[in-house]
Amino acid sequence: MRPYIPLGTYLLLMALAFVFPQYSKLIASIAFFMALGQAVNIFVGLTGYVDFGYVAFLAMGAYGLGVTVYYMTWLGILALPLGLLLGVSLAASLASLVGAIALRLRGAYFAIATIGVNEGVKHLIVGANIWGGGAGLILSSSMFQAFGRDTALFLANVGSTVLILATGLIAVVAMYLIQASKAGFALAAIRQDEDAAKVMGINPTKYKLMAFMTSASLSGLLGAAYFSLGNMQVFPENVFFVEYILDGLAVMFLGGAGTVTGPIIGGLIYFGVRYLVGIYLPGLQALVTALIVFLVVVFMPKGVVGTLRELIPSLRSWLP
Amino acid sequence: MALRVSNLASGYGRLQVLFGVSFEAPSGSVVSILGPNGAGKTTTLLTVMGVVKPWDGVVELEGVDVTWLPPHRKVELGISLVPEGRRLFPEMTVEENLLMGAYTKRARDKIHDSLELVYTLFPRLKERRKQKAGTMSGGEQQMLAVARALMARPKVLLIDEPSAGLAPKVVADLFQTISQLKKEMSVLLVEQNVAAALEISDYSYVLENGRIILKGPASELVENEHVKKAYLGV
Ligand SMILES: Nc1ncnc2c1ncn2[C@@H]1O[C@H](COP(=O)(O)OP(=O)(O)OP(=O)(O)O)[C@@H](O)[C@H]1O
Ligand SMILES: [Mg+2]
Repeated sequence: MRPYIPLGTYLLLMALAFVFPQYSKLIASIAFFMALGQAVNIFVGLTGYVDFGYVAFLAMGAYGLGVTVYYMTWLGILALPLGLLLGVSLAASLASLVGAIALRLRGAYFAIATIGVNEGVKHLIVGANIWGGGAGLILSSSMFQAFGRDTALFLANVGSTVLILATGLIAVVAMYLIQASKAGFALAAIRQDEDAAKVMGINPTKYKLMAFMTSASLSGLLGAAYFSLGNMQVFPENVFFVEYILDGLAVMFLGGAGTVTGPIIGGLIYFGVRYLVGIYLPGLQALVTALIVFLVVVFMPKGVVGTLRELIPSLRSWLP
Repeated sequence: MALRVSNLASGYGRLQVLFGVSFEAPSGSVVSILGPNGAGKTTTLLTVMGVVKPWDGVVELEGVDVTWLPPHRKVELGISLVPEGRRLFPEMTVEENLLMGAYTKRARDKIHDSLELVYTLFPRLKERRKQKAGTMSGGEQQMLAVARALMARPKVLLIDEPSAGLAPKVVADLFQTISQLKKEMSVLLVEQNVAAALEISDYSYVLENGRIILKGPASELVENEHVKKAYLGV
């Protein structure tokens, strides 16, 4: 396997964000889709399970960093690493809670059981009026206080973009490590026939939970980088926006589920299509997402990367 | 006793399928459970394995109570299942399927040895080792399913209807190989092909409606009137 394309893409975009800070937000929008697809892929692509409450993990990450900066401004710059850590921990904890209960269920039942998770957590925050409740958290003044004005603006612009790209990069490495390990074989077996995997001595719940928590942690990091750091605000309506899981699935299927490069290429294409639709058919993005997922799943179930690999076998090692 | 099952009860949801099934499978022998469609044969094996949760009863492996262990722990301890319908990993090659069979720690330590063993037993699989499992013939797939289970180095091998869908000649070859396996382990065979199963069994049980209604040495059951009438068509 040659990791140059996935690693190179992320490193190149990082360099671009530094050199051309005026394009940082554009790069962040593209990278958000790539990293989201990558994170979703680690769970959905590797296990074959779908989680419709998935967006709650983005939200947990956003709130983790958000509440740290907002309520513990005195931490200064330390609020950033500690906030990210809290965000990732919240996402991982929610995943372990949901997973421990629901991952015993089979595919479709799991998907149904998780539908309410996103709305449930959202209503908990809004209804109990914690963490800013329905009004959300506006972080700009806290960030200016904690980090200093210039640093805060740099972090919100270039910093957030680099962190989104770093999330994608970590996801690439995580995917490699999982696929090269015993867990990768176990997950392949579970995906192809879970009952047969059980009688091979594999504990499916353990590996599904592992993939689920890894995926959720990465989404937590992504949510923190994109919403709290990048937008300097956390609004429940934004961070629990359920369509993000559809975006993640669209990117993953478009590029190729279960592959490392797929979500990167998928993210690029997906962003391009959404951008063009935004210009020529404004307001129809959601419809186009649905259409893309439908057409890809029906006509190109292995995605761009999977299909390319089949057509040109020598590309296989270049497109891991 | 390699495997002793006492008063096993289980089912699906509220539907009880097994009503106190008891049998034993000593090492060095082939024991078969015979019976018609829907009798509960597959359910028996799945409950022994822990894929279906037991409701009541005891499963002992070499004298140790393993009733409540999950399947992956039972594989580690030495029970292996060749599932009904083979259940190979279709996207994996023959060799990858075999390697999956050696997933547990205990099996991985002997993986090279085990590969050699199963390739000697089924030379056909060695020729085909790079082929996708899903593209093989029914007979080859069944060989692979048995070989994959052997990779786990079982003390007790459970085999569910290996003859299903295979030509008589292929069944004869496969059963010949299965009967050799008992030298190393205890084999528990579930079959509807009663004649073929009785031929290689040392001891047999007849399961009907979730209950053992007959048992005895295979040589005696062949002569039994009920077995003759209901299963051998004579
Ligand atoms: N997953 C399931 N859910 C509900 N009922 C089931 C399930 N599997 C089997 N059954 C029922 O349990 C009973 C026993 O089935 P089982 O598969 O154990 O029979 P069998 O003896 O293996 O039959 P066959 O020879 O056809 O394989 C049947 O009535 C069947 O309909
Ligand atoms: Mg059966």
